[in-house]
Amino acid sequence: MCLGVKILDIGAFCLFYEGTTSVIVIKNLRKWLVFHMNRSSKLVQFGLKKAFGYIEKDPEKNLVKLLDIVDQFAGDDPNMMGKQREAFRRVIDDPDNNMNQLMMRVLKDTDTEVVKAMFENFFLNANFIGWQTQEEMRKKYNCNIPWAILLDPTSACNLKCTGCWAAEYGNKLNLTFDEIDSIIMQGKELGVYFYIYTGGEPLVRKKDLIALCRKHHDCQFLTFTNGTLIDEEFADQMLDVKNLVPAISVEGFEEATDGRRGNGTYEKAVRAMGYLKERKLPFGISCCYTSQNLDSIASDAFFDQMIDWGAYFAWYFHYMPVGNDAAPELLPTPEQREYMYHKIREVRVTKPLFAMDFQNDGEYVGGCIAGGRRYLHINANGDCDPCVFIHYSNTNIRHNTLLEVLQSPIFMAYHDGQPFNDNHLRPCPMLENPEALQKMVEATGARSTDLQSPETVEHLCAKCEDYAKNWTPTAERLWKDSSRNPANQTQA
Amino acid sequence: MKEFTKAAIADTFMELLQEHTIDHITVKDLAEKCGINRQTFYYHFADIYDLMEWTLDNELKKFLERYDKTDADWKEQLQQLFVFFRFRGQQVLHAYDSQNRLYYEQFIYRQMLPAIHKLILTYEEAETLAEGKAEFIEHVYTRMIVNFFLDWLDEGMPDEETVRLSDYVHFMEGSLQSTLVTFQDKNV
Repeated sequence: MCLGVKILDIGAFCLFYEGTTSVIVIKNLRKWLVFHMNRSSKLVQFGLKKAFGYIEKDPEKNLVKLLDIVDQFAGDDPNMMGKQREAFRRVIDDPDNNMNQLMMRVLKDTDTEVVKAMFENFFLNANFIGWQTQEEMRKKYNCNIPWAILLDPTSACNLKCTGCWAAEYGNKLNLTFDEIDSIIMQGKELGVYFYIYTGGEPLVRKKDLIALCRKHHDCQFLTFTNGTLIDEEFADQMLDVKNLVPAISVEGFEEATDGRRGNGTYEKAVRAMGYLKERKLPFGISCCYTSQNLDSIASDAFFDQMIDWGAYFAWYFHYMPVGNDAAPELLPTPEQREYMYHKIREVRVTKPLFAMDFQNDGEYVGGCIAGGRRYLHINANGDCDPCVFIHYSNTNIRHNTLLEVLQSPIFMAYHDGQPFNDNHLRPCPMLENPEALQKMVEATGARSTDLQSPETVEHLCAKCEDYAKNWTPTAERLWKDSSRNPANQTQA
Repeated sequence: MKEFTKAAIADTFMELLQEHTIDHITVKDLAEKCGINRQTFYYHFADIYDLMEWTLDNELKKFLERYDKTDADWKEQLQQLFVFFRFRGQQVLHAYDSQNRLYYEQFIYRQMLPAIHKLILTYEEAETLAEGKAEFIEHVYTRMIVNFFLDWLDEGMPDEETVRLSDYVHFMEGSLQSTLVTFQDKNV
């Protein structure tokens, strides 16, 4: 089963429920789909769209009916994920369940055509069809094959935020339309149908991004953005292409956001959310939590604010002390991180919002997902980094194919080293296992791809040593009790 | 501005279709001839087939604007559609292949359905049809017209005498009333 289905589906078909992932994934259905997609994809898409139209007409009633059909079809076959179906049924049978409410929000408050595009591109292509190809390629090439590719269309940004690592790239670097196009074409060959724009501010290149969405209408695109460049015209274009979902970054409420990002930024971001909501376009919020803002950014008031804005998902990023000018004092304390661990899990069972915290959710995905295991990062200079936070590389997409990147020394070191810790609450080779990254960089001769101020791996990892040491006891305690710990998983 | 660029791309496409079949027209060639870059093409269209669909819709819109079609009956509309394809014979044949046959089907269906709908309403039997049967009859007759056009395209658009468009007209006029009678509320 794949990460995509496990953690990211913002559609109706996947959900976190009481800390376990409950997904309708029927193995035979996947085989059937792949078989038929190859034969006559247009016809199958037509059929799926019809089935989807059926759910949509009356989601409350018809989802239950559809599950009845699946149950009849699946019978008692142990391969048919009975437990997951049961959990899913508990959710859709209970109108007070928060995930039920989220699903109904997605199905009712989103433009029909956009939901269909998400269903096809994200659910079918990225997770069913693409996963099959990825698995084949993993076997064939014996290296990591990603599920998503993160790339920076530009290092330019229209804001000047304090302490932004993207700003350190300087602001004149761009991947051309043809380069991004080529990355996506190569990606699709490997089964990758999910592309995430980082930066820089990706929407500085919004015209090219729309063109790429239109050209690759079988892919799902997501863009991180400060939201200030989303105007009505661009929102109309997003509605027209249907396959671009923004994750708008805020620092919390107005004071915190404007404090870091500049006066008026918050207001513009909120206005953008209004434009999206008016057009029934899906979007999410992205937040970086630090020792300074954690109390406000992880408060109930803020979660409710995000739901009120109309966000479907909230992605939390642990502050990373990357770059020569980084401020290690912004790293959350073990107590703060533990608070986040419990808070996100609580939100997932109480609020109609899909909340994730990449650092603490490592336990759902077997630890580190970088180095191409589930994703990689290509910066605006073409350098291919194993992670959006780890800027060491041996390859550049201007000189290497995507496959060569995945087979390059540092990517293979990731492949061979993952997981970096048996405790999946200590997933990162930098933050929680700094010695691991140092060894990999030294052994592979990867060079710093930070264009503004190259940082040695010793310097970077030194900043994490104390943090790693301090976090370990808490991580051990939480892991001991975690339902995701193999030691706690009894054979069914 | 946006529509202007789209129209310019479509015009270039129609020019290329005079000489080449659709599978031999690349975005690169088209962009070069039109004096735009590839990203501008993709800003407006997903691919050549998407462009073909837009061009066909747009050409038809322009074509129909030249007629006062407010009181055109279904036979005139059928004739208009025939002429529309006929005038663009070479281009249409170059743009029509197995990949987009479905689109041509939908295109013709979309054009003819309202006319057939109007035609049925001129019969008094239409008022007493069983529920849902008006839509059913419209659908079947419209599919018949679609079928005529597809056969005609498949055969390389021979002239009107050879394909006997008039046979379809007779067939429809001769059978419609008895069809409507068959599906009267009291009969089904």
